[in-house]
Amino acid sequence: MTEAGTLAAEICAAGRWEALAEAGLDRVGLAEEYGGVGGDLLDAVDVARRAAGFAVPLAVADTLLIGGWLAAAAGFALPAGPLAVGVAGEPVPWARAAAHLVLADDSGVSVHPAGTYTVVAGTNLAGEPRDRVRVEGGPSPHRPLPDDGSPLLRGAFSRAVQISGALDRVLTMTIAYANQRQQFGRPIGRQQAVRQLVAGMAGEVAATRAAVAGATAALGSAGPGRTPDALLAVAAAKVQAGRAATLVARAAHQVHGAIGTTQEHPLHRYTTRLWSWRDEYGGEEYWAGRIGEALRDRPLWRALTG
Amino acid sequence: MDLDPLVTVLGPDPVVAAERDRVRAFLDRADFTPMVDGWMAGFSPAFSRALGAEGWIGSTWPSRYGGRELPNRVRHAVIEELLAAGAPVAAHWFADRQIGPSLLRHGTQEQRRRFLPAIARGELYFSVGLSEPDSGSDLASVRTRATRQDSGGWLVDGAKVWTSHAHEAHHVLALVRTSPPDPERRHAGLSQLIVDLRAPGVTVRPIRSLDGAHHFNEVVFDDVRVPDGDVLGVVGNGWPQVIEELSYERSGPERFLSTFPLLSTVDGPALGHLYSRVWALRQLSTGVAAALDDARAAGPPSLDAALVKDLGTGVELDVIDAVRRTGRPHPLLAQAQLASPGFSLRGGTTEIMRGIIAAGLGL
Repeated sequence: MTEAGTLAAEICAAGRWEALAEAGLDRVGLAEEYGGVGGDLLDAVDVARRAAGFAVPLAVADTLLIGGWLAAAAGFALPAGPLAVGVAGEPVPWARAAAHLVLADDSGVSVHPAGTYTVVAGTNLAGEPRDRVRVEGGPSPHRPLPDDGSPLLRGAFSRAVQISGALDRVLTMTIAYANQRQQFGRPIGRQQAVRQLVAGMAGEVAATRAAVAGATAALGSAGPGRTPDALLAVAAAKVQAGRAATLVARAAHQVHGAIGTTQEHPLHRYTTRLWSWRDEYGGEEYWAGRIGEALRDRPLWRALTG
Repeated sequence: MDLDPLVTVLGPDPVVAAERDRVRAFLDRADFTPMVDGWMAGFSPAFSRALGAEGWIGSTWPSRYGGRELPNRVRHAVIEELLAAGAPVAAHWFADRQIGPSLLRHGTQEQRRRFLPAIARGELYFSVGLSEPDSGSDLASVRTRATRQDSGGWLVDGAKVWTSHAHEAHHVLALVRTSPPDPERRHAGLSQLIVDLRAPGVTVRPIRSLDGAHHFNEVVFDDVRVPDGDVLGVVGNGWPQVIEELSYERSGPERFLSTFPLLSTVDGPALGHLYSRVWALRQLSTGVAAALDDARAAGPPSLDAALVKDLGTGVELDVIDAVRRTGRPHPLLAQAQLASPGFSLRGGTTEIMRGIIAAGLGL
């Protein structure tokens, strides 16, 4: 969709952070005055989506959409290398692989270089690092949390973007499989039951893309006074993404049959990510509840039409 | 499969916002009771005339035909506002949504002058004559035939069903067979004829819905004369013309807003879940409308339209269940439940939509 995204797709296939950094894609969409390379949120989103669609074992989305944004918004100069973000009490994605840890809690935002914290390894369902950290040494400089959004909201946005990328991949894989796998003398994709199932997948994939696009637009124009729109848009995207992740993973495994449940077949790399990411930074029920609360004081149609 | 063309990141649009505000002000002043399916069941000549006077019927058409040449995305906003408010827009709905655009694409100058300004004023109403007793999902199998007369013009025989408001409208745009059926070329030999519903030989009989309402009809044609000047487009080109119309029909916001007025009693996470789906659908539907402004030459939005319709009918039904689960009464809940089977049937069944999507995905 964007040039940055297309380039990222090629680089992510190689799986090296350095290659990403050489292309400047590790800082796309982040404020230039803090060390970003320019581009806008849409570019960052596209890079993160593409990386997710390759199940790249790198902290691309966490750096571009959460850590980098948080550090820059709090006024820190952006450090090089992958970033891990710790949000009050939750496991820290990619802590063991990060060059810097960005922590956000009640006292504000702080940045910690690798080596100044210890890591206890953990994983999510997809085997991605979800570690516990303990920061050593004395107090480090804290800056206040930015006004225009919370780390939890940014985290939810990131996961919605990533889910969207993985959904695209899973749909593509499923169509290819249905066209290639033959039973009863013809591709299983000719069977009505399979066609209906895949068509349902496509609807949720399209709806998630659209919801993420809407959330990107809302966040991109977010600022003081615009936060309610960004909250509703991101929450809606996360709820839709979670719903789609569930339905699409289920349908994809159904179409792929037994082979899709093996370690050898690549499908699990994406479905385990869908299952993990739908519950990170708040699941559907949490964000549906936040939408319900936000709509107590706003007429429903006005909220929808922004 | 590339879904990219489906999704546009839309920024704030002052032109759309201004028109939306005008519609809201109009709706605040207007006198009507919000309803479910206002676009199907709410036949109100007075309301349609009032909308016509404001320039909201045929709004995208050339001004010489009574339009205002508004971009599609502006029309989309107007339609959304009317539907979300549950307004009675049925009288002019089909003429505005598909007949008028079809006249612009395929009609003669004479037809456009004859019909479009009156439609735009909210005074002239059309029904859509597609389905027959033996032809629903398989529209190409229609048997209503039009036989060429030596003296000129056509003689129409057959019957159409599910013709909304044929008992109150002026004309029906009927899909008829003008050449004998050919099993090798099922879609060939069909044409569209504009038939005057008051012409001799036309009989309209009500089909009562299970809720007691009357908006569907059976229209029987018994040797009805139709002049050459009332053929729409090219004889034998009826199928591509109809398919195009259906695409524009299916992608509109009525496909997910029919039960929107019921959401007023839902709150908490239940509201949040539905909100997120309606939000996503709005982005999709708005994107389709915007894409129509940019890429008219790219052809009708068949895949996108089918996706919006399939997703949308799911939401419409789930809204009803969410309202029931609140345990709180809603004045429209009964009406909505009785109307509910129609959501996934009209304008193309869910199963047919999914077939279109599957084919569009390359399965």
